[in-house]
Amino acid sequence: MRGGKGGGAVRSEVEVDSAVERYSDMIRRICLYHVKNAADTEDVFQTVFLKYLLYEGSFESPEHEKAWFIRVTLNACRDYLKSFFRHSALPLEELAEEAASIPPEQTEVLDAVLALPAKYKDTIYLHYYEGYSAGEIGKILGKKENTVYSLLSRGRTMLKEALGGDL
Amino acid sequence: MRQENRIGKAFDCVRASEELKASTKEFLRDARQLEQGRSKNRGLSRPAFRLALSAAGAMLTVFLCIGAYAMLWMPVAYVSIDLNPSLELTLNRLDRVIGVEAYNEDGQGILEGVSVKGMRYGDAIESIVGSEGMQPYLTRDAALTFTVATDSAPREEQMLEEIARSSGCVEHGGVSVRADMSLVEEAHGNGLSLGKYLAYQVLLRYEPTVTVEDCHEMSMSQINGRIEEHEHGANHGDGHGGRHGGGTEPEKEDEAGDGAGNEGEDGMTNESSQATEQSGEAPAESSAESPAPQPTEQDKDGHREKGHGHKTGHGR
Repeated sequence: MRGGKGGGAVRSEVEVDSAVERYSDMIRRICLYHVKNAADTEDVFQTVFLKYLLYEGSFESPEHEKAWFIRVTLNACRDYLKSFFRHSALPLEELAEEAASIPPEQTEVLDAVLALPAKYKDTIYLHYYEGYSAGEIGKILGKKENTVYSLLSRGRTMLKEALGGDL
Repeated sequence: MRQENRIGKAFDCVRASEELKASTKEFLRDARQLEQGRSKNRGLSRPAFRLALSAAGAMLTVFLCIGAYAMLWMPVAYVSIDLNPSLELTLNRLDRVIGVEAYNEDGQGILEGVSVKGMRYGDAIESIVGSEGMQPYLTRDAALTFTVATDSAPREEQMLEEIARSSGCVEHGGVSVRADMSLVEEAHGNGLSLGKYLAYQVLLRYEPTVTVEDCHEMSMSQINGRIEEHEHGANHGDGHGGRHGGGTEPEKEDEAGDGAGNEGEDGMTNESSQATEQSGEAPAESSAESPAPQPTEQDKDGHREKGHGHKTGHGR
């Protein structure tokens, strides 16, 4: 893994561009269910990668780096919402540019996830898309494993009700 | 990373657009340049600037502290109050009493009954003169003397005037005298208050054998009495001055019994000093030490005294 950097210097352009390629999709998804529109998403991108550019610590492994990005992104989204009294994600139809590029059968699923109360969305995303276990999610979100289990099972129940059938 | 489930599939459709990635990279390039520029500055001028700034701040703080200390705790003037109780006030730049010292047991007794620290000197003098413990000493012929020493001429002028207007001078026949600032240390080194030391200096001229220890035990009126004697020749003989005169015999006079610690001889001598002063021929030494017993003459006397006291202070 690309390690830490020498004292004081910022990360190299290559290093940062490579991180943008690797993590942009993930950050975009997290933004989808947290922030309201493309402008906000761009702000979150800038905040997250600027933190990376200036981050002086080093990452032990790719997993460590990824978890770091998830945490920083969630914090950025939360700060962003806090500072503007905005509601989190809107239904997908209102995100016009997204809706155009997504097949209708997937839109239904995404809408169901977006409609969940905020506290369920992170665990659902991290578990069903990123494939993290409840223990790992607990570490990333700073919650107890049992809390994550119950969030997951209640979220799953709500999604099943909304979508019908298996997830 | 995507999981094989409906949620996974759905989220898989969501991707960051190329424009978003490009604009983010663009932003990061600018940010890096900014940051590098900053860190270059940080390497040279910024820490130096910060250091200079904090050093300036620290120095300012030190100066402020010194200024405040000088304002509040540096002695700039001394007022000694001598009767038989011998007290001395130390004043700061704001004319407040920052210290009060008793130079004999009687003075100690007065201080036990009155607290003057923090007061303006005028109020402090009033409350000392008006205190319970002071009353037995304020007899008609007591030689209440206020001696002022300070480096600043206007301050001295103002203090002498204010003291001359105080009840100590107006009602009890006190006088205000100036002394040289250099005498203060000398007086304290000899364990005497400023006023008494000044009187001792004068007496020393007539009686070279008199010691500081002798003066410790004499009241102001006793010292003044002996000075008067010398000034007015041998008409009283050589036996005046009571117990402590070098080898002279004690002598009791008619007024001896009238006050705590006050010997009687000065009643007469004061009167005569008053007479000479009023006739305008008072010698310098005499007037500096002699109290003026008549309140009506006080203001004038106080000022005249002051002038002579000046000479005395310098003229050793």
